[in-house]
Amino acid sequence: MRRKDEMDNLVTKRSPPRDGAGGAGKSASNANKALIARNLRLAYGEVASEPLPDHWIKLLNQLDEPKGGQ
Amino acid sequence: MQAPANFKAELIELLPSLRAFSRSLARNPAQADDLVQDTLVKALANVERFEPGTNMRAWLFTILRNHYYSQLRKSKREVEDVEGRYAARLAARPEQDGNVDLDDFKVAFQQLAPDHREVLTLVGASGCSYEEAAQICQCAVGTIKSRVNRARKKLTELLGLEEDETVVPGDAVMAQDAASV
Repeated sequence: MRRKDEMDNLVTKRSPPRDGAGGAGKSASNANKALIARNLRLAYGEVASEPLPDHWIKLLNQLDEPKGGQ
Repeated sequence: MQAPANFKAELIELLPSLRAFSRSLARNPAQADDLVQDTLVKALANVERFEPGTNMRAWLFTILRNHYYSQLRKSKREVEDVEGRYAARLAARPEQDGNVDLDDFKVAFQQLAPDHREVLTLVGASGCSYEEAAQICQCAVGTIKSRVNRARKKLTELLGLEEDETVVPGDAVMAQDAASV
């Protein structure tokens, strides 16, 4: 829920005002950096919040078995 | 299987970020999840080689990354085809006002080379330090830093965002400013 709001607000929101002479001309401006960072985190958070497949947990349950067990 | 105490709990805690890292490398969610699955199998097979107290995230991410690149080498041709298709879609929709839709961002992100996708994800989203990213990517810290810069620049271009420092053709005001300097 929070994530949805965040997406609606953050993604469509204008970037912060550019602060003039950013870099040496070869790197992205600060506004663009902020925009990229925001979208990267949103995309990442979206995936990270998906429910995990059961079979992954089942696979890891092998760790509870005594040594030699499969 | 002999695992250090807390190994399983720590691993489960890392699964969401491992999955997100995988998604940034793989071409689609199913492939990404397969990559995670394979990573888990490899991690379990190598439990004994994990040193308790060391960075499990870096350990897991490294396994996944190595596996991804070995698969990529095997299926190079197929991947290039896919990239071609993405490139066709590239004919970007330039955003003039500094806004970017998340879906457009994802499309642009997928145009990036894998080494650019991974550094942006590691440093920009997963919270890895440059040092940790360097460990995972098995390269120098300076290499990570320059890759991040190049990746950002490329992504900026792909998103059709104008940069402060460049004069954008057709922008009369900026061109005038530049001329009067």
